[in-house]
This record gives sequence, structure tokens and C-alpha cells, in this order.
Amino acid sequence: MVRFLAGRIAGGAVTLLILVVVVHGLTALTPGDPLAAVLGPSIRHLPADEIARLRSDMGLDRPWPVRLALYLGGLARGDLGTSWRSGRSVAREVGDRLPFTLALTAAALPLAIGIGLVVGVAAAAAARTALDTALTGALVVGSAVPVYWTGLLLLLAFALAWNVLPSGGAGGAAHLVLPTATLALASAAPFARLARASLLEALAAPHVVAARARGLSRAAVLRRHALRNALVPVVTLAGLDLGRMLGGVVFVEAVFAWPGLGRLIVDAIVARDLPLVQGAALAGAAAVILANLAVDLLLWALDPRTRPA
Amino acid sequence: MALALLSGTAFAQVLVTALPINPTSLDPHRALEGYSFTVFQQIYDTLVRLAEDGSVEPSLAERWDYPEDGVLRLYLRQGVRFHDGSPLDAQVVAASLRRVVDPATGSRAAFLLTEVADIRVVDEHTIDLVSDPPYLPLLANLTFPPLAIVPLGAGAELGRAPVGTGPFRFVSWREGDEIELVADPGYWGGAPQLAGIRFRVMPERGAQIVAFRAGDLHLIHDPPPDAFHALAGLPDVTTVTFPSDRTTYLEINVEDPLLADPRVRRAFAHALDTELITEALFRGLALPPGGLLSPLVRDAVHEPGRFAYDPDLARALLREAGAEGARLRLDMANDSDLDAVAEVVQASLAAVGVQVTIHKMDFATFFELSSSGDTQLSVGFWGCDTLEPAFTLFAALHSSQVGGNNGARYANPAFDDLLERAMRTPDADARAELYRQAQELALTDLPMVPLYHHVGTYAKRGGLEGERIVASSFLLDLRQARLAEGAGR
Repeated sequence: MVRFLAGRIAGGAVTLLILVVVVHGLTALTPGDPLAAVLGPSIRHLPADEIARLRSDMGLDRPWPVRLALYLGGLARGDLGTSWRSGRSVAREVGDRLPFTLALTAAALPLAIGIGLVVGVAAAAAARTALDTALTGALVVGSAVPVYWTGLLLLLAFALAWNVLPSGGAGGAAHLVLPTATLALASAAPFARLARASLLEALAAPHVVAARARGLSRAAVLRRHALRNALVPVVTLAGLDLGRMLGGVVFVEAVFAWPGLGRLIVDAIVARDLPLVQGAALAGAAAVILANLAVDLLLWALDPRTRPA
Repeated sequence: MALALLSGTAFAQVLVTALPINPTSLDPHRALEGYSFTVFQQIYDTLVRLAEDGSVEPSLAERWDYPEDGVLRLYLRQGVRFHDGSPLDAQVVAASLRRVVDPATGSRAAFLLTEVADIRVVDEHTIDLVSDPPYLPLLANLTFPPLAIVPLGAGAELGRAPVGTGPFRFVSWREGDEIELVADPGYWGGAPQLAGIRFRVMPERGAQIVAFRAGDLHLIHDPPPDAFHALAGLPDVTTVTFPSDRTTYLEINVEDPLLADPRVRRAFAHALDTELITEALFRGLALPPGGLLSPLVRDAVHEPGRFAYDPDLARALLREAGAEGARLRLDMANDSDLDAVAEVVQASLAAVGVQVTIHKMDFATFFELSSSGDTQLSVGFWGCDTLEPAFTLFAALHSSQVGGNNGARYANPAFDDLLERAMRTPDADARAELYRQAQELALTDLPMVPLYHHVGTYAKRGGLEGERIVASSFLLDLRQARLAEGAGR
């Protein structure tokens, strides 16, 4: 168990290191003047010598490997650097926003799994009937529609037409309802598909057939024998899906004015605020890696076959 | 509730409005983008400010004069205090202006004070700004919100805990979510009638409109033309337009072999169907071009119809210049508002036989291309924030700015001379004449062809009255604003 955990943590650290190098390299390779991106149109009023001075202040006159080495050195000391735009420490910028994204994904992921399982089980129970087709069809449409659009529709309905929920922002629990629902609806389809497929597979497995032959009811077989096996791939998918969800969160946060990491990272990329892009990407990646570690531990408990010999 | 009690006004309400971005800083000397001006100018004051007619009116300086050429003397209002209780005097103002030009501050507005050779404290409430040779745009420059006056010894903490002399005091800032201000009952200009202001950070325009329609916002800036007209029909909603300081241009690289011929540039000016832009695209919420600068700008040359839409004339000019069938590239920074404008330019030029391909990119890439002279045509806009012609003309067209913001690479010694003399001429009429001549010259050479002048728009509700916006949605003045009873949230 300890060796397993240590291996996973070491693997995570290597992943994070690769991520830093790749993000750093991509930002350096992107065409355009980072200073112009950071300053935006206000660069229009700067004299040329001032532009040169700012560039040197930001270290942009140094070669890329030197900048990377300096960044890694800072990282080793636990220093994520300073945002070029706001002048605040990246740790504080990220720290202000990360909890909001974690709260949103933490609420949306179980809801997505819940919706997926209910629909998947119902579809499997009614396999190859009109209900099955309708349910899976609805979910495919749900996941194909951009969250942007779903979000605005939900806003129009709940904030404008019925005026029962707030129109955005991060006040209290009520503010979390619409963004969570939007994100969960967009993410539920893969869970439902997987639950349906693995349940059908499990229902056809010899031990399930044997249980049915012993006279257990269909519902009891489903609950006691098939569902547990069908859960393994669903839990695995949950870990993988978290990364995808963090991608979708960007749009949801924009539509609902939710002050999370997704919006921070998009703003930072547009402004080419390299230290902030790095820090936010690192925080996001660390969250995904930790979540996957949690999934591995859960699988360990759920399925003995995943334990190393 | 707490806000209403604090303000001491029985029926005062809290105004709620939206910001499309989370400001980078509320330190006026470090802020970057216009929408942070909207917030911090409620908290701070500048020495002078823009009046509704575009002239300069008193603020922290109650009057000014020029005791000798090159010396701008400002007489400060007495008895003004910062929100932390510290008094405002000439020493504080001098330190604040020096903080702007101090490289350690990294202010993007320092360029507005580069011509100031000396800042002299005359007495406790009088200060001289000395420039040699005289530099007349200085007074207008002092209206620019990033030159607001900050307390003595202000450091980096000011960005997140702003302290000014303005009508509203800072209360809190939830990053990416909301900034809350409360009225300062001791404001030197009289206590505001609003109890406070909440700025909600809402990046998505559609969501802003939903929130406004749901009554969660009292004011939204710049709704798209379709939404603007739709909102106008709603009960309780008032839509407002105001003259803006912005103009959008077709910028032409005059060093390009094909575009160096002024006849080609004049042909473009007559080929462009600007009415299609103002009427079809902006549905009347834009003005046809009448000059290089918005008509709101002081001493702007404004003569609508100067470049009549005349494709035949354009074709004739192109034929004369041997530029028929030219193939050109148009570069632009990503900006959803400008996409359709660029397409109109493309279609207009295609109609006279010039093929244009549009290349869109992020602003950083665009700026690099443009400043290094690697563009042929580009579409972009300029604001003239101080309403002083030099603000735009110098940055965009003076030869010293080639390699920087002068993307047209226009370098005409006669233009430079007229502009420099205008900036040094104390007599207002003589200065206006020099500015006029400089604009006429640039309108003949046409390194930039104006496409339209922007019209500012906003929508309001909840019985909001008394608000004032001059030139730009960034300059929202809420000192006299009030909401109808029960409209606050």
C-alpha cells in the first residue's frame, strides 16, 4: 500500500514537472509580444525606451532556458512567482480562485455521476426499447450542446422568467445551483453510456445468470451482483472526467460570473501573464492528479483485481 | 441595509452594475484597463476632470492659470481629506505625481507627464507644473483617471485596499466576483445620494443582459446594437446614447510599395461603404466619419461626407496608380465588434477590384506585426481619452512613434512640425488652427482612413437618474446619481 502510494505520488510529481516545461515552452513559442499582451492596448501610449525597460524587468530579454531554470528554482523554494499584470503573488491569485472551482466541480461531479447512473441503469433495465433510445438520445444531445448555451437557457428560465435563482455571482448556496446543474448535465452522458454498457455486460456474466437461476429477483441481482461490478469503470471514468470537467468549467464560470480558476486561467492566457498561467495550470493539474489518486484508492477498496500482487 | 445606515441617508439605495473583467488593480497608477477606471474613479479624484461638453472643469484643483509660459499653476481645494483622514495638500499632490513617473511604480500613464520638467510646491495649496518648452496638453492630461491623486506614502497595498478623496469609499473586493463601495458622507463635493455601489464581475455579455432584465443590475454598458434596441422597448428601462471619444480606422502602411501612392489610399477612402457600417452593422449606433478624431474631441476637424462613397472614382484612381487587381492582406486583433467591419472593408475593396484577405490574431501578435511594419492594411480603433487631439495624433501618427504605435509608419516632417507647434502654443485659437492644419494634412495623406466614430451606449433601470458619462463608458460619474425608492438590491 505504502509503495503503491509512493509510486503514485512520484509519478504525479514527474507529470507536474513535464507540465511546467511544456506550458513554459508553449508560451515561449507562441508568436507575438508578451508585453503587448500583458499591457493590452495601453501599450499604445508607451515610448519605445519604456517598452524596452519593462521587457527587461519581466525577464523577457533572457533566453528561454534561463527563464525556465529561474522559474524551476523558484518553484523548488515554493515560490510561484508574481503575476505580471496585477503584481500580486501567483499563490494568492490562485488561492483566491481555486476554492470556487473545487466547490463547483465537487458539486457537479457527484450530480453528473448520479444522473448518469440513474439514466444508465434505467436504460439498461429497458435495454433495446423505445425508453432506452429516448434516454440515451437525450443525454447525447445534452452533452453535444455547448455549456454556454445550456447555461444561458437555464439563466433565462430560472433567473429571468421565474426569478427563483440568482443571475450569477458567488453569494451563497443558491448561486451554486445553476452552474452545478449546467456542468453536471454536460458531463452526465459518458457516465450513463458507461453504466448502461457495463451493466448490460454484467447482467450477462455467468455469476449473475447463476444468481438469477437461483431464484433471486431481477432487482436484487441488479443491486447485489451487477451494479458493484458495473461501478468499477464508472469510478475510473470519474477520475478521468475530472480533467475534462475542469475544461468545461471555464465556460460555465464565464456565463454564471463564478469567480473560479477557469476564468483566471483564460484571462491569464489572453494576457500572456506567464507566471499566472503556470501557477494556475499547476494548481489545476495538481487537483486532477490528487483526484485520480483518490480514485485509485477507491478502486483498491472496490475491486481487489486492481491491487498489485 | 448596513450600507443604508452607514450613509445616513434615509432612502439611499445601492447601485448595482456589471464589469466585464476583474480589474487588475485599484491603484490608479498601476491599473491597466479602462474598466478598472470605472471603479477607481469613484474612490479617487483627479486634479481636473472632463465636463460634459468636453472642456476641462475643476476637481481637486479649484482653478488654474499660467503665470508664465510653460508653468501650469494649480490652486488646490482646501479642507479635502482622504478616506483615512489624512489631509490633501500641495506636498501630497506633488508626491502623487512623482509616484506616477517613478519607474518603480511602473505606471502606464507616466507618458502623460514626461514633458513635466519640474514639480514645484508654491505653498500649502498651490503647485506648479513646469515644462520647457511649454506643453499645453498637460492640463487635459491631468483629467486622465490614472493620474488620480493618492495618499502620501502609498505602496503596493493600494491596489487591493484603495484610499482616495473620492465620493465613495472602498469596502471589499471578492476577487473575480464583486467590489463593494460605500458613499463617503464627508465628500468635499457633498455626500453622494446613493448609499453605495456594487460592481459585479460578469464577463459574459449575454449573462449581463439577463441579469439586467431580471432587475439584478441597474446599469449595463455597451449592450450590442440588437440588444440595445430590444431593451429600449422594456418598461422601466431607459436606453442612453452619448458621444464617444473613439474612432475606428483602416490603417494603411505607407511604406508598402503599392500603398505608398497617395492615390491608392484616396481610392480606398472613396471605395469604403461606411454607411453600410453605421446603418446596417451598428443600426445607427455609430457616426459616419467626418475626420480623424471623434467630433467630441476639442479642435477636431469634422466634415461628414468628405469621402463620398464613389466606387467609380475609386476605380479611376486605382487605374491611374496602376494598382488595379491588387491583392492585399488585412491584419487585425481578435475583436468580435470589428469582425464585421473588416468584412465590409473586404467587400468594399473587392467591388473596386482589390482582393483583401483578412488575418485575425491575438493582440500581442498583431502589435508585433504592426509595430515592425509587417502589415499592409489593418483595422483598429483609437480612443482620445483626454479629448485633446495630441493624445491620439501624436501616438498614432508622429514619426517618433514609427516602430511603436505608428503602424501606418507615417513620417511627414510637416505634420510633425504642425503637431509639435500646436502642443507648444499657449494661445487657444492659434493652437486650434495648428491642430486643424495637422489634421487636414493627415486627411490628405491618409495613412489612416476613418471608418466610423463610435457612439457610447448604456441601459439603466430602477429610476436611475443624475448619472453622467463623458466620452467613454470608463468615465462613469455617480456623484449626483440616485435611484427610485425600493430599487436597490
